[in-house]
Amino acid sequence: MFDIYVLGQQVLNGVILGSIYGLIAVGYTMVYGIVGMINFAHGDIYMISAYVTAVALAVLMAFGIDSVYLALLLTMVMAVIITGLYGWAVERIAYRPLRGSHRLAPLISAIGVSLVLQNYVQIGQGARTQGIPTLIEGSLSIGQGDSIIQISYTQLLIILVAVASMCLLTLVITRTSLGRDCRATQQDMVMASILGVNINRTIAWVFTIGAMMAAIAGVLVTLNYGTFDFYIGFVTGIKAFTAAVLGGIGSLPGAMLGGVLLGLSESLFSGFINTDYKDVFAFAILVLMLIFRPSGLFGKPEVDKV
Amino acid sequence: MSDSILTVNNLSMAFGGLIALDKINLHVAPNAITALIGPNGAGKTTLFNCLTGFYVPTAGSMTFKPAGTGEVDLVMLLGSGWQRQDMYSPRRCGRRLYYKLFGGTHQIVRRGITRTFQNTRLFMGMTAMENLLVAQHRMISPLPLSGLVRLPSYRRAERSAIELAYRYLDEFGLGGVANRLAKELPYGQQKKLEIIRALCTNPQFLCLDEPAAGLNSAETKELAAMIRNIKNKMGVTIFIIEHDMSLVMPISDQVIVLDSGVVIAMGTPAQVSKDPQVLEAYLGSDYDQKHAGDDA
Amino acid sequence: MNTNKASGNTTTRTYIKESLITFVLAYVIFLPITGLVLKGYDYQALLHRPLYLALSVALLRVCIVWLRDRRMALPLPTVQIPAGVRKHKRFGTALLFGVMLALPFSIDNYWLTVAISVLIYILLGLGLNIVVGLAGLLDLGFVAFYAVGAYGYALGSQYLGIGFWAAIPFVIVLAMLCGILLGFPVLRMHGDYLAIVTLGFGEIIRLVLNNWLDFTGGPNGVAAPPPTLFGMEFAHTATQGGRPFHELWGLEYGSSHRYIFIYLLLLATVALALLFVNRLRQMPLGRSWEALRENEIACRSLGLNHVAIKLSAFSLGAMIGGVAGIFFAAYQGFINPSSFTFFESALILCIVVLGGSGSTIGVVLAATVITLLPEVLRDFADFRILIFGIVMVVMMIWRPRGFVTAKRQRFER
Repeated sequence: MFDIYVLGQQVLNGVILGSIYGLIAVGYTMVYGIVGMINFAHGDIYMISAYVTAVALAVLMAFGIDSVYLALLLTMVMAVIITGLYGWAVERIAYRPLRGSHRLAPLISAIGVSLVLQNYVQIGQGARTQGIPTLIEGSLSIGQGDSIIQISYTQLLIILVAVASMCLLTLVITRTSLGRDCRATQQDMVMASILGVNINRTIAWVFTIGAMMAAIAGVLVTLNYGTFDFYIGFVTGIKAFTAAVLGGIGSLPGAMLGGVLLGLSESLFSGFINTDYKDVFAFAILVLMLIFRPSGLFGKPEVDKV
Repeated sequence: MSDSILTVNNLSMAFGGLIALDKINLHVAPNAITALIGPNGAGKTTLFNCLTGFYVPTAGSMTFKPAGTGEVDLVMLLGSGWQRQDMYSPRRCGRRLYYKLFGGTHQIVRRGITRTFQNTRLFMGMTAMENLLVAQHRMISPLPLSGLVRLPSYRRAERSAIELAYRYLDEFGLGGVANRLAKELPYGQQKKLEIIRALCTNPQFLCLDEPAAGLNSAETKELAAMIRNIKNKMGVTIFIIEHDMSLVMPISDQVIVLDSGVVIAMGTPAQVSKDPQVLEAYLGSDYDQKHAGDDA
Repeated sequence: MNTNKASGNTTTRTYIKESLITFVLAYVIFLPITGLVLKGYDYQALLHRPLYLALSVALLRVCIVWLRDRRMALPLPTVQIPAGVRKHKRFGTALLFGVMLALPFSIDNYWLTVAISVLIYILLGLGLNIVVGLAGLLDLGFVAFYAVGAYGYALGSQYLGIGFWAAIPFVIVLAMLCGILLGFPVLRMHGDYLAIVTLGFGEIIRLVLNNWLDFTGGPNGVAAPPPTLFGMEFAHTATQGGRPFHELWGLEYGSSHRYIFIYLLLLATVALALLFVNRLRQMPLGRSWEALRENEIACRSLGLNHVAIKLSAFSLGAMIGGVAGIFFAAYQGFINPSSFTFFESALILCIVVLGGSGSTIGVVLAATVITLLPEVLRDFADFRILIFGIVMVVMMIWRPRGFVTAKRQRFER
């Protein structure tokens, strides 16, 4: 039976899921825009952030920090810094030496990094599923009785933080000198370097910023679902990449919009059609987009240059 | 004009709003060297790309009439250019459908039109000989199976392909580098190899896109001799884009001048070089002074 | 921190600074994952682990700076086949083949299964080598064809009642069709996008196998019948009528008979595939694949039908992958979707990359090494994937073209 409240709930869930995808998609889209490679290991960077979150919370609790909000803030800061370092280190070790190599080299290297990160976490933290306690309880509800839409405070937090960090990122890209360097490098790497832009530093920052956004997503998802394992990066990574492709890879607002679109359609699909096949659905969107509209839903098709 | 090997009628090519070619009309005479000149961005390479099937033109027709066979509609080979009268003939309908499905650049090469590129496009990781054998793929084996079991007929075909390649290489002085990787060859030899590779497809009509770009004057002279040689000995019609007038003017039988997607002049080198429109549009308005200086 | 281009004047101070910075960064990076291990909602501090790791990273960093400072590149080993071997190539091949033939009779069951997986991975490597190594189309979903082969056999025998031998042509056709089906939509794609689409296809197939309970058995998998030789079974007692193999020959029943049979059959298949791929490489079709890899536009300008070439690469690669799938199903006797994950695709890709894209001998060597390594280094079994990952990264930096460079064919007058 069709129920407007069920629909509303699914839309809400979709938007929340989508803002997570969007945050991760930012990393794919920025890296692709500047170095033209698919950072296959980006999903695993997000996975690292989930672990850092849990570790940071455990440590903070052991040190006796009782205030939930202080703990959350500190956790967020730690996760962003450490995950950002991971992003930087991966670029430094596995991608920078490959600049100018043949075109498949960075992708193959990225697959290698992805395997390394998964197995490294598996060895370091054990293969079992990990979790954190529920920190923020309670929820808002709209409606009454059976027909209600529920939004927990954690979900509210997700939306707020996602919007805030996207705004912050937009400010960084449009207003700072680092952002200007990024945009210049995206237009023409050689010319930018001739004009004195430090390409290595800019690219390192792009990877770091991407990882930081993924870190925020990792913290938020961990708060919301509470459980995670070393394998979560793979599927989430591909879905976030799908979001980046939906919005037109290389475009920042596109990544966010694509994330929300994918989150919505996935949530509606699993809510009204079939839950088992929701991953198949997302992969199918990815494949169809790359085949028919590789430049995104809103982009113009490219002409092959001869 | 019935004796032209290539006739282009009202050919237009637009990329979105940008009109690269605007209703071009031109004829290319058989067994001759025709030069296509014009300033940068005039649409020369676009015309080549249409001719050789890399672009499907927006409108117009291109008719190729090689010696001894009937006319070929090049636009049809690309699976495009559907016309109203095709509806009434099942045969033409079928042909259109066939080329819609199986058409493309390779169909044009099969009819005898081949090209080279402005920026050399060799198979760099393969040897010079392998480059030439790729071009002769159709001569070697119609059936993949005969090669798997190495039938005598397959070996004979392969042998003759190798011999043909060696003959061309020797002819143009590359016999010694047959087994070297293409990327190891000096630039001048790479340029030559690309032309030889195009010859290996057994063309009747060869499009050369700026073959002299990046060559020094000695190499350019050698190239001019090579192009003449190809025309005279092998009877190949040559259509050449070139900026180097010292190469183009002496060897061409006919010159076509393109500017901003429009043909502005067509004729012998002597005629074209005196055409006031060409002087103004292509060679610059101060040409008269310079030219006067050259004569003195 | 590495922009130290000045040669020969790196002072001790610089070294100390470099190593300190590296150490601190590495320690911070390693600490939360390896040093603070989660235990429920609490944690356990193992602070020595990040310490050792960071120390070794710092040491490695110093070594790299030292080498770079002396403008020394790391030595590049290339496997050069000695001239003597090349001269007696036929003899060498025959000898190797003879040894391989005798092998199953001299090793126990366990090593026999290892040998079988080596051969299966060689087959998979040869298949993917056509697509990635020769045609230059990065396929991250190759495992899909492997799955098609394995499930084609298992489900074919369950629903259509086809046996091992009938499954071979059936699977070949099925896998080639799948290759073409996958090939068509990805024709216009290049490089990275192609890789992601093939990955998507591979995952979709695995997820469907996993979720379509009624047809595939889902995660519980499906049984695959053991192979037969002229209707003879390699079981203790015949289940499908007739007499089992050992009775007919008056042999003592041995569980190894089945494995020996699969091994020998597989060996013949691998030999055939090697011959097939080597012949193809010297034929117009194989040369067109390589030409496509080198320059697609030049290919088209020479009248090669790039559609047909790509599809043929996909379908022939898929065919070999599918055949490998049949053998996998036949020797395991039971398959489920967990054997066909993305990791498997990455592993096969690793074989092709390690072996030197395009080189058949390289693929054979790499498949052998990669399958045998975990068996030899049993103590490091947990680190297997880690090592593969590191190998892939290091190879891309150090020798992006693999260890064995494919030898070009020479043409005499």
